Formats: sequence, structure tokens, C-alpha cells
Amino acid sequence: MTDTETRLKALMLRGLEGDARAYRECLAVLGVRLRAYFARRMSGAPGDVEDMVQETLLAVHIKRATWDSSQSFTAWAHAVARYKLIDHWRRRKIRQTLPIDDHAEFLAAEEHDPGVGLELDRALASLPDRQRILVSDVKLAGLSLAEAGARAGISEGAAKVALHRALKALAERMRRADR
Amino acid sequence: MRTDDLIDALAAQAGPDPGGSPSRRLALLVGLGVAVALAGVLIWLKVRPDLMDVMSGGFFWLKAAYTGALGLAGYLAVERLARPLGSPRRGLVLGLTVLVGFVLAGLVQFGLSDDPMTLLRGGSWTRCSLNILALGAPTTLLGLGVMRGLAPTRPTLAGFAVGALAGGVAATVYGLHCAESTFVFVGVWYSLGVLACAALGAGLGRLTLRW
Repeated sequence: MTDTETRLKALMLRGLEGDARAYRECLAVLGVRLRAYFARRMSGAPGDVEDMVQETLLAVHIKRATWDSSQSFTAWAHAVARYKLIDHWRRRKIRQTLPIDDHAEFLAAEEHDPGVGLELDRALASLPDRQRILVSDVKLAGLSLAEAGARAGISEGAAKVALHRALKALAERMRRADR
Repeated sequence: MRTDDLIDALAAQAGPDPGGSPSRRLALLVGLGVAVALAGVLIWLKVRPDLMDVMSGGFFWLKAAYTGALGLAGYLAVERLARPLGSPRRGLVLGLTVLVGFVLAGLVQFGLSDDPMTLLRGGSWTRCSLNILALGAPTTLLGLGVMRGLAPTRPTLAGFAVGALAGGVAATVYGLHCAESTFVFVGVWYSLGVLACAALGAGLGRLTLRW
């Protein structure tokens, strides 16, 4: 556990300095931890686990300024996950008064593979075209920011800002989509 | 979407949050809060004409120190409550200590006075708290906007602290207009003005500070 903390913290610090590879590794390790964390606590809704993992990773990224680097990184990430889980349960209570929705959710959950989240796709589909294309260029095609920007006809800097906004909008929509 | 794809997209955004650290954002908020309240006093309420004379007196500064401390308490609490693990203890302790101390001084003054009700009413009791609320409300709203970019996990309390910060700043600037100079008056109406901002922040924070 302490080893994980030392490793993750070092990776996160490098990520905050702009090291994309370190940041990627940090998020990947965190993703594995989160999957286990949510799977243990959401045995009643295993289909929602991956959505929660993705929502939490997005939150970790968007809220990274609130991590105080003199403090434990895993404790902070755990606090984010815990908040997301409580929030999820709070919203589920509302949803359970709508049994039809529940049923649809149940059927959908049956079909999907582990490692794939559904909410994010729905949220992504609701983004404006420009933002959606930018996200899928960077994520699917693996284009660099400069290349994705060139395709959209904007500079690398503008692409970075636009992607930042798109991710924020995604996080917000994912949270709302669950209502 | 596969989680790996999401991680790739996020990794492309490595580096610090362009919005800056929480303390930088809050410093900006305090600066804006002072500017908004100052504009309100200069344009709308007007500075008290005897400002130069009273600035040499003790109570002018004592009043400013009291409301300033309430704002500082709000700041300390907000700075912690903006983070998922944050505890507002330091801010709460400072705020309660200052509030209770000042109100006790007001009670003593009230008890010793021959005409306590005149002290309580002063010359502006009908307006004081409302003026502070008016000067502090814009900053409370701005502060909630700042908090939405951070990660508060206790929305009502975080909103309350934002309002206390905004109200403390507004009340301190309001001292440039208001000539009231008793513990009784300031202890009641200034405190209520700051608490009104805090209540506004708590009510709106409860609804808007989810992420």
C-alpha cells in the first residue's frame, strides 16, 4: 500500500509537470484500483462499475488542482472515489422510484463487456460536434494534439483548451445522465 | 467507451490545471470581492465624510479587524473545504471565537448603558445588514462559481464558508461608509449581515456544489 502510494505519487507529480507517459501510467494503475474498489461496493449493480471507474478518472483529472502535493495522493483519490460512490447512491435512490428506467438499465447492463462503460458514450454523443470529434481523434485515432488541432483547423494550444473544455463538459454530462 | 481510450484522452492533457491552484483562485476572488464592495461604497453608498478624522480612532480599526477576521475565517474554511478531505476546523474555530468575543463585548456594553435600545438601533439599523448583504452577494455568487471548479464534498458547509468570506470582505469595506461605532451595533447588525451572506452561500451551495 505504501509502495503504491510512493509510486502513484511520483507518477502524478511527473504528470502534473506535463509528462504524458507518467500521467497515463498513473491513471491506468489508479483505474485498476478503482475497479476493485467499486466492484467490492457495488455488487448489486456490477454493470455500473466501469461507468463509475470512468467518471472517477475524469474527476481525478478535472479536479487535480485540489490535490495538495504535501498530502497523500491515494488518500485524495480515494476521497474522490468515495464522493462519487455516495453521489451515485444518492442518485440511484431517485432512479429506483422509476421502475421502467431501472429495467432498461438492467437489460443494458446484461449485455456490455467488462472494461467498457456506457455512460461515457452517451455523454460523448451529446457533445457538440467539434468537441466530440476532438475527443475521438485524440482517444481513438491516437492523434497528437497538434494533429487533431490541424484537422479541426485550430492551433495546438487551442486544441488543448478545447479538449480541456470537452472533458469538463463530459464529466458534467456523465453525472447528469444518471438521473 | 473503453476505459483505456479515456485514459489516453486524459493523458494528452497532462500538466497542471490551467485554472491554477485553489489558493490562487481564492486570492483572485478576494481581490474581486474588495473591488465589487469598494465600487458599491464609492458609487452607491458614498464614503463617510469624516473618514480622514476617524481613521486615527481606535474603533474604526477594531470594527475593520472584527469583520476582516470573519472574512479570514471564511477564507481558511473555504481553502480546506475546496478539497475532498478538507476539514473547516481552523476557520470555524477562528470565526466562532471572534464572533462570540465581539458579541460578548456588545452584551456588556448593552448591559452597562443607560439607553441600550438607542445603542442597538444606532442611526442605520434598518439598512446595515441589508447593505452588507447587497455588497457581499455578488462575491458570494462568484465564490460559488470558483468552488464549482474545485472539489467540495460538503456543499452546504462549503457554500456557508464562501458566503462568510464574501460577507466579511463586504462588511470590512462597508466600514468606509458606515459611521456606527458601538460594540452593540456592530456585534448585532454587522454580524447579521455577514451571516446573511453565509446563509445565501449555504442555500445556493447545497443546490449547486455537486460534481
